[in-house]
Amino acid sequence: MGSFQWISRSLIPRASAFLASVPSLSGSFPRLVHITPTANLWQKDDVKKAVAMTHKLPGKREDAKSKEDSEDNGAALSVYDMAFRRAGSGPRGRTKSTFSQVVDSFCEQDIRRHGHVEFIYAALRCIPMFGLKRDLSVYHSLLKVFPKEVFVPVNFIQRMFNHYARQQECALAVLEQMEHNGVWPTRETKDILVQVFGNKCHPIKKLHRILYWFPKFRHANPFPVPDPLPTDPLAVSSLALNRIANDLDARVTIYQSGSDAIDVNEDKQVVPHIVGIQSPDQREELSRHDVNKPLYVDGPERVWLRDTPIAYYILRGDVIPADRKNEHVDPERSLYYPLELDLDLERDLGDDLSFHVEDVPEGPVFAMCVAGDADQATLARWITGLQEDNPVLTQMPIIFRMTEHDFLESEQSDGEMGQEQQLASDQEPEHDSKQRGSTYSGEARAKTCSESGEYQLDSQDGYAEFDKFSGREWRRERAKVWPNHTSPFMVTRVVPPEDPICPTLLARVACSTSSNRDCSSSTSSPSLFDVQHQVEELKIAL
Amino acid sequence: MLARRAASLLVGGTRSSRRSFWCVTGHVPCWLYPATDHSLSCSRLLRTGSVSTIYAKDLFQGELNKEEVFPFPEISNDELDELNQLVAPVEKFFNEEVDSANIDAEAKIPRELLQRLGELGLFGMQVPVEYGGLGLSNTMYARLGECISMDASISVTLAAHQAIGLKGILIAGTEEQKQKYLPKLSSGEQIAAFCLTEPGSGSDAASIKTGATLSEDGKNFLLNGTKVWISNGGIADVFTVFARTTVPDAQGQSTDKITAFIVERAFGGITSGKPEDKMGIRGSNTCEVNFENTPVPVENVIGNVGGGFKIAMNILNTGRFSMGSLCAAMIRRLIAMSAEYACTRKQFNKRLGDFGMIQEKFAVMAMQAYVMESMAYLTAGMLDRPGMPDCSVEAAMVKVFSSEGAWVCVSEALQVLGGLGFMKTYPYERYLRDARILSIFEGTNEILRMFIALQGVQHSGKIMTNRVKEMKRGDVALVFGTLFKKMKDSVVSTVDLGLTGKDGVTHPSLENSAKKLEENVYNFGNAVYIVLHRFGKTIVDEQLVLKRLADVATNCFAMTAVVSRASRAISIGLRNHDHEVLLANTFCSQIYFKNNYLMSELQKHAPENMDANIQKIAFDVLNQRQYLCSSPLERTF
Repeated sequence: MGSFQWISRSLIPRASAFLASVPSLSGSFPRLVHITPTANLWQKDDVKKAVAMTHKLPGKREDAKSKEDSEDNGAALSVYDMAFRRAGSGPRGRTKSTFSQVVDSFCEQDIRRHGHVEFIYAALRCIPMFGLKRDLSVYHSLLKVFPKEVFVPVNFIQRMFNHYARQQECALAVLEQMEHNGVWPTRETKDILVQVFGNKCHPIKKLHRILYWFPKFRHANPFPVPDPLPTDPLAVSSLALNRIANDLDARVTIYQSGSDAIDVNEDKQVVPHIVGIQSPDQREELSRHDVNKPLYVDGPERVWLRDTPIAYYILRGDVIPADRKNEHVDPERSLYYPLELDLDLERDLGDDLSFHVEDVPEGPVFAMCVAGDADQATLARWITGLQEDNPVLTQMPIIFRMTEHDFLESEQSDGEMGQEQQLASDQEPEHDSKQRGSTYSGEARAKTCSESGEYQLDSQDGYAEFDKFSGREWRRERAKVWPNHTSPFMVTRVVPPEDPICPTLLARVACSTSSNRDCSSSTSSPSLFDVQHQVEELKIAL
Repeated sequence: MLARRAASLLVGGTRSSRRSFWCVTGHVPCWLYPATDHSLSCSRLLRTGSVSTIYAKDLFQGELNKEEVFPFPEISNDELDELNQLVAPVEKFFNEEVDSANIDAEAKIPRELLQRLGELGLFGMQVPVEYGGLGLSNTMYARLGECISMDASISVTLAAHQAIGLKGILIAGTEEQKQKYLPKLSSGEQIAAFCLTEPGSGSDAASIKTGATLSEDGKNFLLNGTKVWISNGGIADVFTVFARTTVPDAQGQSTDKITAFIVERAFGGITSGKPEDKMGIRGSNTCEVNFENTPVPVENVIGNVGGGFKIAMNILNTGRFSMGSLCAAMIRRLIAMSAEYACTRKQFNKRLGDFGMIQEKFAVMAMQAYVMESMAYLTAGMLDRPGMPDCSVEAAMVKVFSSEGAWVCVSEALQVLGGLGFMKTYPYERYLRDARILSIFEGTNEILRMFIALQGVQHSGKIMTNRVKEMKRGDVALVFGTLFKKMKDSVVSTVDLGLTGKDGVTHPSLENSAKKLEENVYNFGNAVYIVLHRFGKTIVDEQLVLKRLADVATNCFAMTAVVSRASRAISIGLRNHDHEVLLANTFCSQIYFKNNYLMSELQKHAPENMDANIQKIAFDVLNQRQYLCSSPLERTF
């Protein structure tokens, strides 16, 4: 860190000249602090610091000191960071060309490339903001910032003593960012590095390691998700459902009714829909399910497709008792050979490969669906749709066990969240389905989630971690939430609960704690036993 | 240990007289055979379990019932003369009047031909004389089958008619049913078909959907459903149909059980679809048969209502053994035809027959034909013994061995001719196409292997259960005894099951083969014991293990048949008996090593056994339903 500061201190005069050379500049400092409307990707604190810093004129040692003093958490913006941000805030915005412009102007303005290490670090920090993470040519351009042949060791002492260590580290950081973003280096990368550092440097070793491991891992995923993820919501939903079902015979069905069309514009109508999946094996299993035992609609569960969570709901039953699995085979079943031997001998221990301890008894899953922000009524719609293929469903009681996971949050971020988190702790979810949709934006979600520790919510876009070694700050981007409940495509509330469209016996159990399926620790919400009572009542009513 | 028959003398004499027979064991009913009546009451004939173990099932215990198979079954001189008289006109007919190429091309057997077959009596070969049939024994049936095998379509039509079509009436029908139907069926005036298979049901009886409901007046059953791939379906007048009926079971609850019906086309409501366009046996009529509210009188139920399953099993189990002689005859003809070519065609100034690989082909064909014949006639002879023995396992073994051997031999015969064999001007390609169905119909070979293995394991399992249980309990004396025995076996291998030596039943020139057979059988018994110890009754799920057991048992039965037949040949001095002995010894040596390899694969953790890998590969492929490997040209970067 000391050397870093030394370099930056000595380079500030040059940096100011560099700043002046960036084309988007036109002179007066206050204009440097133009904050773009796309404020999501900027940290408020960053902006504040940027404003504070630019009010201090560069070139004065006091300013340099105060700049370092005002450094906190390593989130200080160097001059080069500022340059990139300024370039990005110009009329053309954050594009590859503006980025390249900054890099080119740095290279041109000084033949000796003073401050190139700091510049490259800054550029690496800014690459995600410009959306150039997966672009190899950008990384090449950064590697070309290094002056060529200067750092190549010429004698054995230099070779022994980690020649130009900081520069090698910097190149390593570039390669690491490439590796982190899954960018494959090519021969050109190697050529550049060999020209810059010679044959036996650390970056070349790193390159070799990348080229060893990347091919091994390329096809390692037996269930790859297409990159980039399709934009069509139907495609994404069916991708997620097929991924979970993992059955080549499973068929995705879309349930929608034209009467539910919502008018978006005058000429455009949007019909909300539910995407469900069921395989023939599940259908058969369902037809054999005991009619008197209830089925449960559990949800929402979450599945991740890269960085996109998708909420889905499951129709499942209770654990099948073991004795049913050992059904006796009808002796008059097979015309040619006996299906069962009439012997009193069991399988030997050494050949018994059945699971014992690892067996987690779970009830069978009969169908799944993706329905956006669904409530009981919507899912009842789904059950009605399923009845076409599974007539047994009409006779079975179905219990809805909805949990209050809140990963389906709105796009409203920023500071208000922090306060709402405090509010939420004592509130309990409403039982009435009408209320559920409206309480969506900021109720009892973050608390429950963070209790279970499943999803870290931040008041900012994602979270930041600071890598002390390289002096870089990694930022994770905000997960794009799918399905977006504010979009008109997804159903919020289609059927009021009183609508007799669903002749099935419905009951609803609301759990006050997120992951407690048995609802045994709920206090004010109705327990499972109450539900049975409700079911009885409903049965009588119908 | 076993309950054996007291007397197992071969009974000669004509088919019309059979001696009465007494058994020692109590559980087998002892009865007197009426003079000419082959068919006894239904309840006695419809057995699903074995009455007495003939031979094959005891192999699974490592025991050789030499009385059953030595000496090779013979027929009397009178019978032989009678047989030759029967065979001559049939052979002449097939040589002169049957144009197989035409039948294959047109995919039809001319009506006149069928009439002529009826005149020759070939439609009722095993039907008793009083119903208008020839009343032949199994051996004679097998012999006639050899002549008929000249044309595969005709033999399949006849087999579908009598081996399964009218067999139901024959073995389980009432007197009235027999009097009503058998005469016309035997003369060929009416043709029979066997209707069991449905689109959703091949071997699974539970998925039979054709239903028969009793009408209001209780006099008729109304039949509704579709049967698929019915041989003779388009030309038949009498069908044996298996349909689901609701019967009250022992507890009084109503269950669905299968019933066998005799259905005449004249009843109405029967439609047959278009004849299927097949790869082989194109002259045989195979089509879909639909039943729409066909009224079937209650008197036409075969056996009891709800007893159709057992009838189906019995019919299917009894028709199989003749395939051995059929295939053997076909291979004999192929040898003649291709040898003619191999001895005349010259390449590189040498006759084809002088080249080693061609010679190997002929040796293989000759051996296979010999083995098939031996097995078929041994089984026929065992079946012809008094007491209606249950030789279903032996028959299944014959079928499996013959069908696969026939396919290989026809292919080799075609190969001898090279490109010429591929041309339609020669009959080889027709034989090849006809031979492909052999391993599919009458019970696919995979299913029959399961049948052979499971019947054997069930039988020996009952006897070995106690031993296995004691071993598992860890009885010290037993463990040491077994260990000692194993060590002794590995050092000094003297297995004597009585085939050779002072009281031996085989000729000395077959001594080596007999010793190999004994060794194989003994080791097989041990292998079955090991398998029972490891898997118990869950062996039903281990198909790859059962397949090996079935293969070894079939091979042992084949060895027995050839040793027995060659022994007899050399003992009585048949023509070319030295050639027979040579064939027998060669076959036995080859099969001995194959058996040893199969049995070594059955050992636990055997390095030869690749079953786990095979199942893993199959699991991966079937999961994705495609070939998984990337192209060899594929790159990652």
